[in-house]
Amino acid sequence: MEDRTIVEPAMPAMGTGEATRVMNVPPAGGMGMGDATQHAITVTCPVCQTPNPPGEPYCQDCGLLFGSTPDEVEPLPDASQLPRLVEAASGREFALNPGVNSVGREAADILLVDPTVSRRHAQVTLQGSEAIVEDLGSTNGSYVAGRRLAPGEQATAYNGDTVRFGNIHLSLTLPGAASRPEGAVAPAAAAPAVEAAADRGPAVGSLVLADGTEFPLYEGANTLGRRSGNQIVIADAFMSGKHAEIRCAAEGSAELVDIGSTNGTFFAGERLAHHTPVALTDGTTFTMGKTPVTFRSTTAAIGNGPAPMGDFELPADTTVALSTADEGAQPAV
Amino acid sequence: MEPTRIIGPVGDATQLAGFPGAPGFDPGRTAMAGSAYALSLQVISGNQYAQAGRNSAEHALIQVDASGAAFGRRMPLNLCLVIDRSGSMEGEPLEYVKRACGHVVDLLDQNDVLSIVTFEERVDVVMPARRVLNKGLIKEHINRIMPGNTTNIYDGLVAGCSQVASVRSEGYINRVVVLTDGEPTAGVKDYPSIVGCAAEQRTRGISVTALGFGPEYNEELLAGLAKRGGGNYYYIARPELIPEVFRSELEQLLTLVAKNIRLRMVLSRWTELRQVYNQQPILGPRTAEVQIPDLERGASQRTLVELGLGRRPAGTYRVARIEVSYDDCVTGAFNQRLDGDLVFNFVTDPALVASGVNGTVQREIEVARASRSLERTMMGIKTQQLTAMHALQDLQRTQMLLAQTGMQEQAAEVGEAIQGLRSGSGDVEKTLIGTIVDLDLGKRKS
Repeated sequence: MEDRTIVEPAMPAMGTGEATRVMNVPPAGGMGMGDATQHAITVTCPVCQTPNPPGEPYCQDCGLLFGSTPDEVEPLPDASQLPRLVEAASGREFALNPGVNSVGREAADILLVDPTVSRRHAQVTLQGSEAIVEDLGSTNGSYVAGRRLAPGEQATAYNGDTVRFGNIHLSLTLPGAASRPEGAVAPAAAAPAVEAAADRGPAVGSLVLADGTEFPLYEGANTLGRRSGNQIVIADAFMSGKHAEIRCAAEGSAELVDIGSTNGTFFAGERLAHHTPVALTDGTTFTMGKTPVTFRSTTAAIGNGPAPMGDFELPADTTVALSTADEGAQPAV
Repeated sequence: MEPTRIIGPVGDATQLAGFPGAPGFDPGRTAMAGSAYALSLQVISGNQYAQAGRNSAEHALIQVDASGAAFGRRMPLNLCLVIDRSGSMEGEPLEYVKRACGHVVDLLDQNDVLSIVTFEERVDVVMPARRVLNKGLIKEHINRIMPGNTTNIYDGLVAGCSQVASVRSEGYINRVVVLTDGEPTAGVKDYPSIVGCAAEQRTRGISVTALGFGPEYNEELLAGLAKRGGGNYYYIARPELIPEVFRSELEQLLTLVAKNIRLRMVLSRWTELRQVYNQQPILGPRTAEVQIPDLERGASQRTLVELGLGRRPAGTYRVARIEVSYDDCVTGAFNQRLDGDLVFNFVTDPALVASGVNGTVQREIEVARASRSLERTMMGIKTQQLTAMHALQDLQRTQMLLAQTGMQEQAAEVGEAIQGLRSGSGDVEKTLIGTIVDLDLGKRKS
């Protein structure tokens, strides 16, 4: 088969390197503007093999300027055999490149413009024929085959799996790779943390706000944020829905972790890096959004005497919401 | 030498039409003005070259310029003034607002449509949408506005939009101007609902301008209104400046050259959109569409995009086709179109790629960074995580960057904020947010 590459002589001024442009002028007598239809030769793009109507300067599919590429082009891999994510709702397709592909609402390889998708939401890493999804502390979560990932958690996604970021559903195609094996269904999502709080045992510490409000802390992870669903809800518009976590050990030691907040958690004058724990000691103060918070350890309090124990004997399932009026009022410009 | 191409409109004279809903618009003259066109389009690649055989990310700048010529004719306005008459507006502020509304009435003529809505706890339609025929009577209505109690912005906005919608026609410039001096204290108060309302109106061809007066209003809310509403944001520090701001808003409306401007990108194979700066594009398979602000005479608008370019053999490729559609406010022709091509030369030599960076696009990337850094500084001041000294240093750096990228006006505004910070006045955030909105809307004086 003979490919005809055609460049119209009256191209718009390119101002670009002429050296790369090779002109294969068609036989004399053809391609006058008026009688182009009489010479209806389809032009097959040498790069993507798409047939184009005559007279088109650029390939309608891949955009190649006809004549601008060397004659010999090594065949490209079949697009239908490349790993990709497909959004059924819009028909958009995202090719997955080897290595890390970022997912988010801004400056992302997989750009999902939706209010339920965080700016930096997740990443999909392609290693060989394996795809690994990692949530980067998104507000509305990442799901692989229906299971929500914890912030920072990585999960393997199989060919044919549905991957969900916020409210956006995508289906994963990994040509040649295995589908999700029977029984490899990921364990059921953990029950919402608030319900779990009911039998968490005695408080091992507490957080005190400037106005004296005190929140008990329990062994394990205690979540802090502006939205309901956190164990400790603080109505500060400058806090993220899920802002930080305090991980407590039984003996009263505790770590503070920022779980990807927008406006940051400040500790000893420094903004904490996301997902990097720092140790809290009794009496240390840190700031989330505009709210300064002081950590109190129960064990230390016993040692020092005066702290009133009674304050910790609140019903264990108490989730104190100061206000829910401005739910969702994230200042955004 | 810049790979810049200027393409005129593709529409021809047969598409020109008079305004169906606009009385007094002479169709004969419309056809005459048809030879001049309102907008022109430039598509500038961030780099003349891109790396062949490898994935890469590149920027591009899409600039729409409005003609600077004065045509002596304009599209009629369909304007609604939505005025806060909460208790805090009592006295001087409300008196100046009345005077400002009076000036607006003076500047309009009998083809324009005006409505006036006031809000406090409840909303009153002081004047339903009417042609501006009896100016004296309209001013009488304005002078009867009295202060009330709380601030119900949402209902005021909704009422204003429905006044405009009641006579909305493509033949008018439809604009709602909201003035407030406080936080929403009644009715729907949350940011997403109020801003969402403005964004929704915009898709119906009604744009919203937000005027914040005094030290108490919620600047994030008003900036959000203007950004999503497609209008302008003004910070009015003192009551005596109110008439001046109304005049400047109206002047812009009276010199609009194009409205309902949509920019659509059709991406070629192996091209992904990574972001449209400061915009939330509507994405389809291989397409992205954004709406850009109405442009007045001589104004320019720049949209900065970042693309992921997939690996491909060496060659010259059009990675995206750019289509701009708009309504011409001078000739009254709807749905005019401009086309452009975004082209990169894919080469194997990395040295060529390093040499091909386009200065104009690079500067625009710097401006986007300056805007983000202003946002960070502002948030730092608000949350008191930033000491005054650090904030000053940050602002001075940004000011220098803006000055270097030719954004003198914005650099001067940051200078004002620096003065404000030094003297401890409370309007630093309000000034800065105005600068951020300005930068993010991408409007540039050419």
